[in-house]
Amino acid sequence: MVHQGDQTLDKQSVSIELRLNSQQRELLQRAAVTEALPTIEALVRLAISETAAAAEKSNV
Amino acid sequence: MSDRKAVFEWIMQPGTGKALELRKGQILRVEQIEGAQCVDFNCFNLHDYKEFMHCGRTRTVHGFNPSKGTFLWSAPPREQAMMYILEDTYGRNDVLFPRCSAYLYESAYGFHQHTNCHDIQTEAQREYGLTPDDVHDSFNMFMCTEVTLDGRASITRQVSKKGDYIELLALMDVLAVPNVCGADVMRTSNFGLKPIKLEIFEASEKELASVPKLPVLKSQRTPADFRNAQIKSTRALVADRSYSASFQNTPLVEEAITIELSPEEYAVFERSARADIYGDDMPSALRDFVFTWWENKYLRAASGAPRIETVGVDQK
Repeated sequence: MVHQGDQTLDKQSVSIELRLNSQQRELLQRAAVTEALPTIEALVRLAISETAAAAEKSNV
Repeated sequence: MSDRKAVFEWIMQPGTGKALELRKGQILRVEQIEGAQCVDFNCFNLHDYKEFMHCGRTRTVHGFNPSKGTFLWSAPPREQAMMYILEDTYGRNDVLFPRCSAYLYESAYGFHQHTNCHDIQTEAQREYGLTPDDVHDSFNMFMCTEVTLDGRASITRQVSKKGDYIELLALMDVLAVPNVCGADVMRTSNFGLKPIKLEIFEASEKELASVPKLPVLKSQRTPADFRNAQIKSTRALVADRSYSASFQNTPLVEEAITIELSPEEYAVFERSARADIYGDDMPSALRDFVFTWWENKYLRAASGAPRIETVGVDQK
């Protein structure tokens, strides 16, 4: 286990806190609904995958 | 255009301005008689003078040089499009500079008295009971400005010609107040003051239909929505002893959601994380990452500007 600030690293996964106030949470929950995703965590994963795809596309 | 008939005509002489009532659907044409003359302009909601054209809001939506196909906006919390720039044959205007003032001409030029846009506007608006404090920053027609690399705004000469004109379509009943800019000792109007022709027309159905559609939002408030809708009538500010603060959506408390990322997902995030700003503060970096993604995908109104449907509008 590696502790680095608020994150905890191991070989399998990394945990990071996403700190949101009620307004920020509302915005992301709306986006999650639009994307037909059940949680904000799932939305974060989508953001990461789409960012990766965009980066890959721009490198082509 | 040829079948138009002016319902009002006026020659605005140097050193003067004119307050004009325009009903919704009427057009104010401001025309160069000789050319190269800046015209300062503001307008008020004719039925509520507290609503007026706001340069900051207009600048945010349309940039530093609003021209044909853009709107003149009122300030928050109204934020309504008050007028629409239907035509602009010259295409250079300014919302960076405030109206010139007596202070400017005294401090920079040593005049104890000199024509200036603030005082001209004041005198023109006095016809409607407004005070010197009711003059606001102006939409400066035909005025050429630029922003220098060091972040300062500067004025350049203009090349508008005789016959160049701007047409403003009233989207509500307004008191429109143009004035011949009083700056005869600077580049604004090429070191000279010239008269300006004003005309008011009724807009045709085709012209009315050419206005881009704007969203109507709940946040465009009127005095009926104000917690305090009374216009203050005394100059001194005195605390209301019965006041109890009531800020919306407060308290704003952050709550943490734990996000589990695979090593691959974390690697993608880490490559995009703004370590230059957040260092090892990963929660802040992740929040930035997520909202940046959201902006790119969902933001409908950059800088708070509404999405304007410009179908059929000939943007300059």
